[in-house]
This record gives sequence, structure tokens and C-alpha cells, in this order.
Amino acid sequence: MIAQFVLRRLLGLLAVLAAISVMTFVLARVVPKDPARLIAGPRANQQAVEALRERLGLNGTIVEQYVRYIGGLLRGDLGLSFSTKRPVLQDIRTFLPATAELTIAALLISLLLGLPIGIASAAWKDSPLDYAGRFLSTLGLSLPPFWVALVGQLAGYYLLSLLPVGGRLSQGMPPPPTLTGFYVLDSALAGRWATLADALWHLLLPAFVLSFGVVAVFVRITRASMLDVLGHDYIRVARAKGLTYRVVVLRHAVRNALTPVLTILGLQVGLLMSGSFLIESILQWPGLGLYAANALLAADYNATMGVTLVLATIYTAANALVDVAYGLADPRLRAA
Amino acid sequence: MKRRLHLLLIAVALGLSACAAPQQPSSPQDVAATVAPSDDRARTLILAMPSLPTNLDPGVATSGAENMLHRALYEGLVNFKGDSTTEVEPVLAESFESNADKSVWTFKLRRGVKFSDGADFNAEAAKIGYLRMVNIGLLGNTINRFTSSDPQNNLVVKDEHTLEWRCGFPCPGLPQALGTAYGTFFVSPRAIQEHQKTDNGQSDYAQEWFTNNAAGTGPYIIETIKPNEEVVFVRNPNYWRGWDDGRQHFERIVIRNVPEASTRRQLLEKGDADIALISTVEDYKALRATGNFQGSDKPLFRINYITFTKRDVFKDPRVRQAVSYAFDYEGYANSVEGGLMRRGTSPWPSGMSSAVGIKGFQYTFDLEKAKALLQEAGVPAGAELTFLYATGYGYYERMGQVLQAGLEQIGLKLKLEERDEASFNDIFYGSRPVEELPHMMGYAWWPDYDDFYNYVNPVFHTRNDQNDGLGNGALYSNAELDALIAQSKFETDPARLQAIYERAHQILMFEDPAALYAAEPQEEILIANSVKGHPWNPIHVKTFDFYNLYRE
Repeated sequence: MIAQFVLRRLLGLLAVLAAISVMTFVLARVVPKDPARLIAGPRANQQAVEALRERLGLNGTIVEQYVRYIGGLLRGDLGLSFSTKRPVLQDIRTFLPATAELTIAALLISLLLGLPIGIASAAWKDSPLDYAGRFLSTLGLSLPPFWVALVGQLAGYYLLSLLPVGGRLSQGMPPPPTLTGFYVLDSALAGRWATLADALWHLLLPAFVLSFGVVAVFVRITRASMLDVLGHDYIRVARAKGLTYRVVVLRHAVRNALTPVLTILGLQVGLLMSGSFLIESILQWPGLGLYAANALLAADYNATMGVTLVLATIYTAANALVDVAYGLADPRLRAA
Repeated sequence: MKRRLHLLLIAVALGLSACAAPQQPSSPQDVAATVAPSDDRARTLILAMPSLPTNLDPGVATSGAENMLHRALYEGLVNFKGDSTTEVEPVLAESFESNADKSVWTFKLRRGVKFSDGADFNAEAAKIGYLRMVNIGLLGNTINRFTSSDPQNNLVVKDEHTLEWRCGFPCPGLPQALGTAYGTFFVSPRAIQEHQKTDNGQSDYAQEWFTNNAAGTGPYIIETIKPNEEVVFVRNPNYWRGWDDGRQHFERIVIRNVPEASTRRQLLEKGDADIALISTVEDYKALRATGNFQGSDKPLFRINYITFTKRDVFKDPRVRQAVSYAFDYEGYANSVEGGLMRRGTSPWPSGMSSAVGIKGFQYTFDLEKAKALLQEAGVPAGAELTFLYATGYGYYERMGQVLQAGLEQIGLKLKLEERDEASFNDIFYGSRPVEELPHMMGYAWWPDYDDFYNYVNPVFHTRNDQNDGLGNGALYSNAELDALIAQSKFETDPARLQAIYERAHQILMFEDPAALYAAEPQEEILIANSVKGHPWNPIHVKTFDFYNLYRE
């Protein structure tokens, strides 16, 4: 029964990915662009451009190109990036860890700030603390991330000289031996503490900026959920039994109030990854977002599709996992 | 609990490692670099640039950003001397001379020069390098032009250190043509041999390898390439000119990718970058005003212009003349662009020797004249024209807006259409018929070297299958001009050349305008005062002779 449910979800995942591959492929090619000319440059003659088009596999009908693309995909070949001239898969493996590291750091910051502030706001409703929490969440939702990034850099780097600009490590600082591609984790595992400190220092601003809006979402959801839970009868019973307010909040209310937060966690991962496109470009974080932004501008079909497929896979896989987890928790959902 | 946490950490690490690419050093030099990073800021030159294309192949890549990388790694036979655009000095050639009618040139090559992979630089290597350029086809036009399209037979290896160059016609401009940084740099023949791939008997000339690796004779070699982040060069320890001439050459050059304009300014101001591209007028002026940075006050050999497509009302030259009168040249250059551009006065850059001294026709901002011309041509009031430009270059949009304001005052509507660069290129370089092209397009061009033919032929000659008019996106065509361009290719008599220039100016500017020549921009680069040795040569746009840069 459970196996069937998981299988159904996996098949659904494959169908979604197939649909995404068709959509991105068609969308990339219906827009009138000529990557061969862009790569060849204005001084190239027409014969050279034609030869380049042939070499890049841009000739033939759209169906032929799609079949060729899918054939490669099934062999784990995402094609060659027109702009970097490297295999797209190699590029993605180079850039994904930076984005994943940034996203995870931003998610951790969001949880570490959003949950306590949301809980405190609800527990001390209408207190100055609550007002501060609500103000912060409004700020987080209304300030555009690019503005926060620019101001953060202006203050942190230019005015106060506290933070670095761009990159994952300082100039001359050798990266840690690659195990995961996450500099923080790799340097910790290698015991290279100076590299760890430098990696954290570089991660600080991009992660904070990226988490800014998500913190606000967590504050709001947690606060609303907590207020709902705190109004339930069992909370009143617990208080009537003589438990302190602190114990009631932390032991009885929080656990139940966090269910909706977990529900939106998967969605926030998707938002953070897509948000990194902008933040990486502004703060020069060399991840998948910056790579994708360059690829889009350069009409780099293969890179654009590769990144889209990878992000879509991560996003749909995360949601499939949530579905499976719900299914395991609630047998009624398995039949759905 | 601790043990569990440790196990969890290791499990997560192992899981993640599956998706992480092992970061191999880009070259053998990487290893040394990671062991002994330089901490001496003074001996490191840092550049902050808006993009970092990393195609290192000088036979393929054509953008200014790529050319900047090539000039650190590769060299040609000659180079322009200082800020001169006509006088060249030997580099890998020790000397050069021609026969009496200048149709055959003999280059004596420098002895003892080696490529960074250890291969010898000699006449055979030079010929192989040139042939590679031609056979790839992207940057071979200059070599083809001066070998009558037969480089195989007209580049003759006389002995190990002598290359004879037969143009097939008098070519007094050959040394200048070889001074360009586009399509004249040599790559190691050994690297070509070792890394080339063949498909159906056709070699790729190791293009794939040269994309991310280098083997040149240049002063610097690659230390590390961090894609989208930075490229680091270190001194080539075997560089033929040596490093002990008393100047403090830089030990390391770091080119950082900084897409955000405000960040580039901040880096420059804080001293964390020595050279930066400053793309906004406000930032440029503010930084120059501090007195801490050097810039150029002369325009580049480049014109930002608006092409005219001869369709609809534009078939009538009077309408194109009217549009040219409706553009506020001085206002655009001095106010809109803050004085960092000079108004356009010629169809090709006014600093080029073929433009200097020409007293040709000039437009003024004259709306009455424009109105009269429109009336004469019978253009109905309210007629709509289109102006297409590529996104990412603010000046095209500003040019369009200034023209829009002028045209509105003479009763014409101008629709501004913006496209990303790839879409724009598809239209500009594509095969649409004239009727399907926009009335006007924003474009800019600069010559490889100071030569009338080299500038005018790609952009104003009728586009044909002989590779003329490659950059003539509006498909402009004028038979008399084509004849003049063809004549200029082989003409050596100064008086007759002068006559060609004057006639071409009159046609392109007034009789049958090909474009509205809006302005000539200055270099957008600023350099910290402590860095010396940059000659601000208007031919070398956004690139540097890194060997001659030093800190004082």
C-alpha cells in the first residue's frame, strides 16, 4: 500500500519533469535568438557562424533538436554550455554547491530568527515585543531583496568595513579540499578553521539578505499558528492544572503550532533557490543563480534548460517527499 | 549523542559530495598558488569588471572582456607604440622591412622566445598560428585580406626566424593591421597538436582546450580560474623580456567579476580594486573629482550610432536627413552623457587618420530644417518610426529618448523597442529582408586598427557572401560607396585616398545617410593613480598591456 503510494508519487515526479523539459525546450527556442551569432561575435563571417551552428547542434527542426536533447539527457548529458564551453552538468556541479550552501544558510537563519520571534510575538501578544516582531515581518515582506542587498553591502562593506564583497573566500585564501562543495562544511571537516571563518564571513551578508523575506514569513505563520493553538481548551486546562505559562507555551503550544510552519518549509526552499538568482548577481556569489542569469542573457539554451531541470527536480522532489511524509502520517491521504 | 552528531555530519557530507564537482586546479600553476598565496597587495593588480567571460582562445573570442584576458597571455608580431594608433613597435618580431612597392614584408623573429608550454616560437609557429586563425574563421579576416585569401602560400617560412609575408598587392598598412589585438596572437603549435580533436578529418584546432587553458608567449600565465568569480594570472617566469628592468611589474593580476556597478565603485574607492569599469556618468565624474583616479579625456575609436533602414519613408534620403537634423547632438553628448562623449562628426571615428582633416558636411540640431525636409518629402504628420536597441547598454536607450523628443517636435512618433542582446543580434545579423527590419537600430563599431577600409567595409558595404558588410545590420547599400570602399582597399596614393574619404563622408553623412552618428564615447575605465604605464590608446578598448603596468 505504502509502496504503491510512493511509486505513484515518483511517477508523478517523472511526468512533471518531462513536462518541464518540453516547456523549457520549446520556450527557449520559440524566442527568436541566434546563440551561434552571439558566440561567434560581430567579426565572424557567415560560413563560420554556420559551422558553429552545426557544431552546437542548433540546426535541424525543433523536434530533431528535442530528440537529440532528450537522448543526451537520458545518458546524463545536458549538452555543452554555449557561453562557458563546458558540459552543463559539469557547470552545475561546480555552481550548485555554492547556491545550496547559501540556501541552507538562509533557511537556517530564517528558522533561527523566524520561529523564536513568532513564538514570542504570540506568547506576549500586543506587547512591545509583539509590535517589534510584527514590524520586522512587515519590513521583511515589503522591502525588495535587491535593495536590502545593496544597502547591506553599502553599510557592511563600504561604510563600516565589516564585511567582504563578493566571492566565497578572500583573495589568496585556498579553498578547502572538496568533499561536499560546501566551503563551510568542508573546511570544518578538514579542520581548517581560518578557512571556515573566512567562508562564514563571506556567507553572512548574502545569507542574511536572502533570508530577510523568509524570516518575515516564518514570523507571521508561527505567530498566527501559536495564537490559534493558545486559544484551545487543552491550553486552558494545562494552565488550570497549575503549569507555568512558559511551560505551557514551550511544551504544549509550540509543538502543535509548528505543523503549518513545516508545511511551508518546502515551498520556502523553492523560493530561496529562485531568490538566489537575484542576490547572487548583486552580491557576486558565484553560484547557480549567477550562472543562470548569465546563461539567460547569452541565450545559452542548454545551460538554461539544465538549471531549470535541476531546480525543478529539487523543488518537485522536496514536495514529493512532503507528500510521502503526509501519506505516512495520515493513511487517508494514501488513497488520494 | 556526540557520536551520533558526528556520524550525521559525515553522512550529510558524503551525501552532498555526490553532487559536488571536484575542483581541480585549472593548471599546474594552481598547485603552487594554493600553497603560497601572495599577500602583498601592492604587487597585485586587481581589476573589477562587469562580466568575466572566460574563453581564453585568442582565435575565437572577440569581446573586449575576452581580449583583455588574451593580452596578458598572448602576443603578436608587433604592437602599437604607446598611445599611437599608427606607429607600431616590434614585439615577437625583432624587426620588419618591406620591398620597394611594399607588397612583400619580411619579419625577422625574435630568437629564444618560448611558449609557456615550452614550445619554441619561430616562423613555423607563427604561420601555424595564423593559419589556425583563418581556418577557424571567426577572426581571420585581417590575415585573409593581406594574403589575398591564400595564407598557406603567401605566408612563407624563409628560415627558422624569418617569415615572409606576401600580400599580393602593395600593403603599406600591414604592420598596423598586425598591431591589432584581434586575430593576431599566437598560440603554441605543440598545444594545438596535443589537444586538437578531429571529426571527419576536420581538426578543431584544440578550440575546446584553449577555451579554458592557455599556451602563449605572453608575460603572464594562468594561476586559477574560478568561473563567474575571478581569473588570476601570475608572472610567466620564462618571459622573454624578463622582469628585472627596474620597474615594479605586478606579480599577480586578479580580474574579478563584479556585475553590480555600485560595487565596482565601492571597490575602487576603498582601494580593493585598482582598475574598474565605471559605467554611470555620475560615478565616473564623482570618482574623477576626487583626484585619486586617472581616466582618459579623449574619445575612443568608436561611434555609437543609429542605423537607418532604407524602407518606407526612409527610402527618401531627405527623411533620413530630417531625422539627423532632429537629434540634439550637443545636448546628448554634454548633458545626457555628462560630457563623457563627444558629439558625432563623422561616419567613422574622428580620431582616425582618415577622418582627421576632412572638412565634410556636419549636421546641427535644427528642427526647422528637419520640418522643411519632411514637408518636401511629403511625410504625413504623425508617421511612426521604430528604434530597436539591445538591453544592457544605457546609452542606446538614452540616444533613442533624445531622438524621440526631437522627432516629436517635428511631428514624427518614435517607438522605442528594447530586446536582450541575443534577440537583437538575431535581427541585426539575421537574414530578414529590409522590409522586416526596424527603421532604426542602435549600434556601435570600432576598427581593429586605424584604417578606413577596416572600419567602413564591415558596417557600410553592401552585405554579400564575400563577407563584406558583416556588421551592416540595416542592409544599407550604395553602389558608389561600395566602389569607393573597394578602391580604398588597394589604394596607396595619399591624395587619391583623401578624395575617397571625402566622397565617402559626403555620401554617408548627407547624400544617402546610412546612420545618425550620435557620439564618440570616452573610455569608461578608471585607474588608481598609483598604477602607472597605461597609455590610453583609443584602439585598445577596455584592455591593458599588463607587462607595462606597474605600481609607483
